[in-house]
Amino acid sequence: MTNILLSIYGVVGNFGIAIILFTILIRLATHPLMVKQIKSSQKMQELNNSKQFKEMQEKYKGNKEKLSQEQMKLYQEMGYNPLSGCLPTLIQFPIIIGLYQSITRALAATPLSMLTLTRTVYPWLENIMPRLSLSSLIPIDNYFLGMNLAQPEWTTLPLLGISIPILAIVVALTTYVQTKVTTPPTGTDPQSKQMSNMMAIYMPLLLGYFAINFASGLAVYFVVSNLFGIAQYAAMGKVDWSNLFKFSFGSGGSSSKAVTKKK
Amino acid sequence: MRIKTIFLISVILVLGSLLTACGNQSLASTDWPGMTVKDDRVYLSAGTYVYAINLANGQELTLTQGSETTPVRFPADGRGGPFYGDPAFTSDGQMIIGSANINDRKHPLFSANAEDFTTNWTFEDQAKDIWLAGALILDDTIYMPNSDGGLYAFDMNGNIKGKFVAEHALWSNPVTDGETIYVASMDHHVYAVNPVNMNQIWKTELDASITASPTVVDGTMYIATIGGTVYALDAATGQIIWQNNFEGGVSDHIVAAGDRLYFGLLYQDTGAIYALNAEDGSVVWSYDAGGAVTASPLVTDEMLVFVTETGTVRALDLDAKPLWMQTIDAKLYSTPVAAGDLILVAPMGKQDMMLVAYDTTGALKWIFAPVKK
Repeated sequence: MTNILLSIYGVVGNFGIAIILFTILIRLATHPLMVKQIKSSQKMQELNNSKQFKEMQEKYKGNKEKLSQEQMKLYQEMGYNPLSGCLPTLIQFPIIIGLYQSITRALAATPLSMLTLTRTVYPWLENIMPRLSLSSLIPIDNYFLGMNLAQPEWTTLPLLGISIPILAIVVALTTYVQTKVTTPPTGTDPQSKQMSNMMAIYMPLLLGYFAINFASGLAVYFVVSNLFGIAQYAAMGKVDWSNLFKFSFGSGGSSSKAVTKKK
Repeated sequence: MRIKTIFLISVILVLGSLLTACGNQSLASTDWPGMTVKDDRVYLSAGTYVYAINLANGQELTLTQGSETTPVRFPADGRGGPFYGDPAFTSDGQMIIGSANINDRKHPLFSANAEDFTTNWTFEDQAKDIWLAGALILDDTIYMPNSDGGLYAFDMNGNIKGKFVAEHALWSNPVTDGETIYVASMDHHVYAVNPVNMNQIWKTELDASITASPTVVDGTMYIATIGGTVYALDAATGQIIWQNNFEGGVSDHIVAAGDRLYFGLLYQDTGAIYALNAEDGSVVWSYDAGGAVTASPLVTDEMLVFVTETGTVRALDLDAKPLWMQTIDAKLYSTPVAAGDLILVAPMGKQDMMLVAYDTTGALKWIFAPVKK
């Protein structure tokens, strides 16, 4: 992964642009998985909206354990694996970890990371293009749009004199937007709603936290990945902008009502 | 659906743990430890602290107040590090050390009292990157290189007197012949700088980035690059006198002794020690190190001691005849340092063995492990 990133850098000569291109490359490479995830979500949605599913919910609304068992049985009968939708998400995580390591390794901010880098670069890359030799690649120009990509980004506001992590805020915002507009409607299933709400809150916070504490090159990856992800969904007509400002707190619409009625 | 929820939460937590682990600091050094011998102590910058260690017994300096005895370390609260550069000392008793903490936006440079480690002054919020190298003290000025490419000049109170800016990071200690400062940069250049006005006198482009300090002897500068090329330059003009390329890279400074130059060579899996003729750069001898060599050898009148990444400490005579060898279960990246009859070696990442002292026959004298606070 580091060699791909460095090769792109060797060609374009700007590490920020190299991260952007590398991110797009990864998004394109994982596109088939994303399509699979969308199809899986659609199938789940159809199942959740089916008459059979709603009857089941009504029948076992007082027995959650039984409801879960029956749901699983229904999934099996319909040939649907609930975990199949998670696989593409799962694949993203080792990529994020690998990318983080690649960025920190390529930027080589300390002697030990420089030693690791000298051992990481394939010597034969030089034969393909002289600009990909170790001597030509190092030092990596780690500045992009005024940011040091090897360090967390904090921008000092003029006049006010206070520093804020603008990139981390952009990461959180784009993650929120992506989570909201690309999450398919959850129907009436309270658990689905709960999970969607949870993802829309926790994912932006988690990635924003990473952006504040780790190399800003990783934050660039998050932002580009989010924006490109939205574009991919939009190209397939799967973006639901109306969902952007829909807020549902608590454990989900129908179950909240149920609790209210009980009171 | 519950399974999916639990699954996603687990994945998020695992990711968080993995990434957070990447940024954690530990007590043991996570990079090259730095060492400076002063009087009867050795000052070791390793991981979170700078330690002051008694050379006689390898014990950490302690302070006794009432019935309580505590180790004297810098910084006392453990915040500010990690530290990788060699601590530098001024004639008025200051220890100068810079922080290599990437997450600390202030990028502080500290001056502490060398006796009790109380802080004299802190320079912060002005350097744009971390401090990886040690300071050069010349007359009443402190010259400190930063990874932002700046060579900062301070008075003894930490006030900025001037600054020279290279095109890229400065990772190695600047050196001087008493009149000019020489500093090497990751930008492939070595610079000569006027210590008074911090103006560039000359710069010479070499074949690759330079992580090693220059060595200046009798008007000639010897320097090596991570591209594996060793150069001799006219220190007055920067003109290249000779150059010799070796397969691999050189990451630490050339040691000049007599009419020879000694350095360690880094290969992918193995390394070597070379002795060159200082006059023309021709190879006098080479010795297969059996492990990558990132550090310069320690050269005395009788022997040469080098360390390898694989944990070997080996002594040769000056004609490459093996004298003794010791092994340590750790990676050795820092140059061995002589302190009287002791040879000091700083393993990396070993909390129970931060510094090891041998005598000149290779016999173990003591091992330093920090006292638990």
